[in-house]
Amino acid sequence: MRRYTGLSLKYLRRRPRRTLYTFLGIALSVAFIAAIMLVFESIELSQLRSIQATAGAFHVRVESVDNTEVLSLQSHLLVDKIAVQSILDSVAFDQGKSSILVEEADQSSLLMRGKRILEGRLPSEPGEIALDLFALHLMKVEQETGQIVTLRILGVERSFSVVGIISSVIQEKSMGKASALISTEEASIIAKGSQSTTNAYLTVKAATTGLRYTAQKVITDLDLSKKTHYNGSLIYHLENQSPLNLPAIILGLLVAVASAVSIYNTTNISVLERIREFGLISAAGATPSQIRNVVFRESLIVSLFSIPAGLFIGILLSFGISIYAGAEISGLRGMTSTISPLSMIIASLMGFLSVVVSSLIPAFKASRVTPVEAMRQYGLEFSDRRFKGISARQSSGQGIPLKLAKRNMRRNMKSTAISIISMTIAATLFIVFSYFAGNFDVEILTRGIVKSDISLRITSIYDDGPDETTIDEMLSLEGVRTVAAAKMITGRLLTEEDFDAPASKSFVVSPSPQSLARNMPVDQTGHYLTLLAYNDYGIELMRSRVLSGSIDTALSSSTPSIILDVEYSRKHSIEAGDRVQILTYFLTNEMIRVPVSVDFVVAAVVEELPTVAYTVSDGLIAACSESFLETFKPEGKDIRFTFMDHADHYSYIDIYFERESDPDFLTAAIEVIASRYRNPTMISYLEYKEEIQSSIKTLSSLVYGLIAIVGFIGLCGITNTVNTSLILRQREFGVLRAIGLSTGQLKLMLVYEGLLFGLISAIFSTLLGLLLSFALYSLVKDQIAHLTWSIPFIGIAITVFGLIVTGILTTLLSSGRIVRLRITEALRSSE
Amino acid sequence: MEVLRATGLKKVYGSGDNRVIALQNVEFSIAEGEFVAIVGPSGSGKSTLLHLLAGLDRPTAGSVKIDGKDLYSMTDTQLSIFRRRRIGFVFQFFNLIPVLTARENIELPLILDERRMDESFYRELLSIMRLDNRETHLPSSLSGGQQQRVAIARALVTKPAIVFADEPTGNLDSSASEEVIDLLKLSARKFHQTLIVVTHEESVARRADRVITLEDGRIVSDIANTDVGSVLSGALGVK
Repeated sequence: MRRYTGLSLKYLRRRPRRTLYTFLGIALSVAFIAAIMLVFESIELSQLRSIQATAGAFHVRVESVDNTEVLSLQSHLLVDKIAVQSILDSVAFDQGKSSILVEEADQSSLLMRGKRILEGRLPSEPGEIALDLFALHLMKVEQETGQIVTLRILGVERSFSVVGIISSVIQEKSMGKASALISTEEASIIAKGSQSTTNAYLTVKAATTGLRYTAQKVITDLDLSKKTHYNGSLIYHLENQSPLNLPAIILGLLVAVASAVSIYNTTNISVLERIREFGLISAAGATPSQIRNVVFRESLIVSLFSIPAGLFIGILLSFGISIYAGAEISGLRGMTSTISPLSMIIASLMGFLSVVVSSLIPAFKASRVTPVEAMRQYGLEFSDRRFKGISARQSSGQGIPLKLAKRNMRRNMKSTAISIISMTIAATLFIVFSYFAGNFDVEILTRGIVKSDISLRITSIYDDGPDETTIDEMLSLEGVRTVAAAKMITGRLLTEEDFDAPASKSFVVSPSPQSLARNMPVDQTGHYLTLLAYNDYGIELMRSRVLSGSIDTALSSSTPSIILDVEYSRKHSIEAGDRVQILTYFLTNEMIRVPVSVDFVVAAVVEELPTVAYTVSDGLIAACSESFLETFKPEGKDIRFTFMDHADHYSYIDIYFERESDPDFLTAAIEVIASRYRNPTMISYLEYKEEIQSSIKTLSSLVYGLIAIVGFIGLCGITNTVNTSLILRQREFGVLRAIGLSTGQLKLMLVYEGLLFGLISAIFSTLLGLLLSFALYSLVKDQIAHLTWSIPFIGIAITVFGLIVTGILTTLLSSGRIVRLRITEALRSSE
Repeated sequence: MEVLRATGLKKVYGSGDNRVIALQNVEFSIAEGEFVAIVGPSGSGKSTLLHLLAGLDRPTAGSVKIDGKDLYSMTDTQLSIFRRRRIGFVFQFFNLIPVLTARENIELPLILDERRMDESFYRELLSIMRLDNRETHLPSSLSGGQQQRVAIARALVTKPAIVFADEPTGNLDSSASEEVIDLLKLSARKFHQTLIVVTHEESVARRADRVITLEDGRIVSDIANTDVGSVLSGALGVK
């Protein structure tokens, strides 16, 4: 041994089992922290990909650019990436409602627009073509490569072989735009003499919080505002993404704490066991810092191997969880795993820190004891307190094991406390989750998304959508009881308070991600409003749900009336009879906004609206009769669209079945009707309920799995502690047996110790679990309306039973060999 | 030449009803090269005195100077360094680090001091201690006597000024005891070291140059070797 630090490795080798427990504890905690972080990152990435598939991956689109403008954009310092889409022709389909844009194949442009190759490849030679899914639909062509298609480009009929199939982006599809890609060579042949249209797609260099500002700066610098479109959906998502994944960090910290407690336990016992040796080393001339180094190095050496092992296990675990969750939890479909260097670094650091922190106290303990004190100790700390003597009556044998057990617990209070904390963490988590799991009401969760038997949402903007004819067709299906249909517009709702607000109001650029208009200042007074204009059936459905006011007023009054959901009524202190003003916008052909404001009265407040719709966090959802929509339309204007463009057709259709109807037949029939429109989303109550049940089951498995791992980490530590503690007390057991304690009584004493340990852990866990679940309930009850407080008796019962059994079993299993030792062997043992 | 001076040494353990005065106002000095035996009945404070003299424990009051340096004005780190360079200590039992070989145990003070071993001196020590074929053995493979000899070699390897031994023969049989004391004396003479031994064995005390007797934490006698016999009889209860 060249250096004194070589002692660390020798100590690790001497106790291979303890070294293994420590290794496992660190590796598992690092694995778990890494897996948690990677899974949360995967979820975020999945959400980002979903948005990119809907709206594209670019920040800004600049239309009809020339070469000079492209060069200017490329050379702008704030532009990160730029891709160019060269469109040769637009081939009309569907009576002009849709078109296929024939463009030059360019990989970077495709990626920037959120498109990807689903099958085959991009065309590289004349005669080849790649079509996106919407183009295949328009051309009524099968989704397979190798077939021959014909397309009329610039007035000439041309045949192509389909070599690739590309995904469609929902927003392009909503605008009726499909893509057909041909090779660069073919494009230059076809386009000879004619002008192609070039659009530029770009991303900017900015922290997510400054994306919009940076993008606007680029466009303003190059004076391109008039032909620019911002990808509001993506920018909004990125800007509102939290830089810190708080849930992942909190969970990771929890695991790190559990691990640190376990490692501390192990290291502490290990030091106490060797306290005499440290005294000897000190007597030989080791300084306090040298002794600390020996203890630290032991932990560091184990970390050197366990942290990489943990990272590897964590990656595997995250892949497994991503695949499982992606398959089973709706909302996470298609989720794939990602390996993020930052997450790996954070997991390693958290694991390393938990090792360092948990080794600190034992290391200082080893270095501070004087050689003489160390030589006197028997490896466990003694209290100075006097113990009451055990009376002769008690010494008859009946109460001795229990008395001894209690005394031993008190004597070893510190190590007992640490062991209790280890088990309490996992047990507390279990009780908290039991409470929330008991509140997962599938019916309520399902009705949070769909209130009818089938809910249909149509988001077409430019096309015709469902109208009265469609509703009549649905009503004519045998088994349909009623169909509530709503047209939708958005705007601002001003209450009486807002009327009295100061005249100067601030104008900000529209935050609305769906805004297609040029970015112009938007009045931000009042509250963001989603107004659902119902047909008569929808209004009738609300009749039985009135809490205040009158539905008749809503129908018959000549004053435009709205109906408010009670949740929003309470939130914004608006009641039946109140006067409000609704402000919205129409758009001219030239995309100029025409503001309109109309006075309304609140006719009624109802329990709930027939439709599940969404709004921003401070927003409102209100209902009115569709007859009042006419009051909005400005006269004598060149109006092309309503703001949000949903007032021309029904956007929300909720179909209610008769009790005895055939749901499968009706679902299929409604699917056929819905498929006439672009981008229909159909949600069946029964199917969604099944999905929710499956998701809850999966989520519960994942959470219980997490708790099990935290518990396992704690158990490793407990087993280690109990094992070592019993070894250290071998001589004591020998003395007890020499005095006359039978083997049975000795075992009983140990059972009592385990029982006491389990009981104390159970009491702490129950109290902490109840406190924590109540605290969490108080925090989230406003967000989760159906949540009620109740004591999770079953969870508590399982926890108490589990902890007592763990305590007894851990002690019994560890003591087997020691109890069977001959008395003389036990008395001779010194370590 | 004076190598050690103890002045007004006091050691109190515990407080209140549990207060125990282990040593009271102990003062003496020891010359270089002396072999001093500290004797007394059980609980007289012998080991406590030895630990204080060797810098292994801190006194409640008083001072100890070795080579003119006040041990208890040093910091813990300074004291550790001083101990490893100037003091050798042999305990009654549990002397060796179980995970280190005999050689590593002997070498330990030098390793802590980041100094290389003087191989020829080491070989000489091994030869004197008759451990030539045992240097790669772990303590569990050595007999009690061999373990004590390794401990003595460790105490001597840094060529300390003083060697302290606390009941070095307490765990050994009579022939091993003789052997250990012979070795201690031999090495002390050879390397010009001062040797201070706590013992309850008359045979060991008789071989000392000087016997200090403790009773109830005080020095009751401090005798040069000619008068050792009668003093020992009283101190050790031997008729």
